[in-house]
Amino acid sequence: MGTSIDLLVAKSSGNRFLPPPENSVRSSGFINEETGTKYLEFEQEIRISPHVFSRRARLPFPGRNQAGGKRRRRVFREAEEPVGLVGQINQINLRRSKMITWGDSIEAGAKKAKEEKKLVLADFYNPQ
Amino acid sequence: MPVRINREKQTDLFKKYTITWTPTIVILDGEGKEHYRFTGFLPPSEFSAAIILQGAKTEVDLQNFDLAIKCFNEVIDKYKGSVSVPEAIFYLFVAKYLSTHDAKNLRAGFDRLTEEFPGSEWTLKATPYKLIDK
Repeated sequence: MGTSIDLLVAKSSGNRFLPPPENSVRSSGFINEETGTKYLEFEQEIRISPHVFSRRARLPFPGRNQAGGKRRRRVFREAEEPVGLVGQINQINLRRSKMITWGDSIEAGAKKAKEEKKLVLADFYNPQ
Repeated sequence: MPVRINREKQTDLFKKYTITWTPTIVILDGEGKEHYRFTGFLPPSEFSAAIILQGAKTEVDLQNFDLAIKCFNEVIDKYKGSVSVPEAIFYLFVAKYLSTHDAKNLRAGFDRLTEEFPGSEWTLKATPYKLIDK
């Protein structure tokens, strides 16, 4: 029979995109290159119940003592603002349920723009 | 037509368009001719407004005044509070003047900017139009 803490532990396995927890410390983050979405990473100290300890056949569990103890878990949260111009454009278009297909040639873009009587939007960017 | 130019792989285009800082967004017409550009990061709503504004200004260049006026109004109505709005108002009345040759449009633009954005650089730029009769 699990407790609410057990459930938290279960949820914390893998990279779950949960809201930033209370009493957490921001550690780092990463960017999803495809969507430009930035995720912030937090470390939260949580208590482990003795019950969890016994259910896992008393296997060593880092950062925990026999009384249940504590361990740190990593929690990810989507940043409020997407990062970079591609991120911004993709986020805008995600909300419109479509993704932009980016070309890499101004010449080809201009040719197509002329045919469709549109304009070319060229994003000069630094991938680093 | 969205195009991305990679600084590491397409250095020739960076030189051709004299791009010294990224990100830079350049608006070009169907002939590949550059019309407007802006540099730096913007939050999504500001970015949308800026793209529509620069696109609308390009349509003014191409003398597509009706489309330009529609886009300027979109920036003004849909992106209230955006930093692009004063410029959109300025060019809205420029587009109206260019399509009608009625100078009263310029005066109307100055009046609106004075009322809504008295501290804006676009109000300052429209100041000479106050000499035009209403």
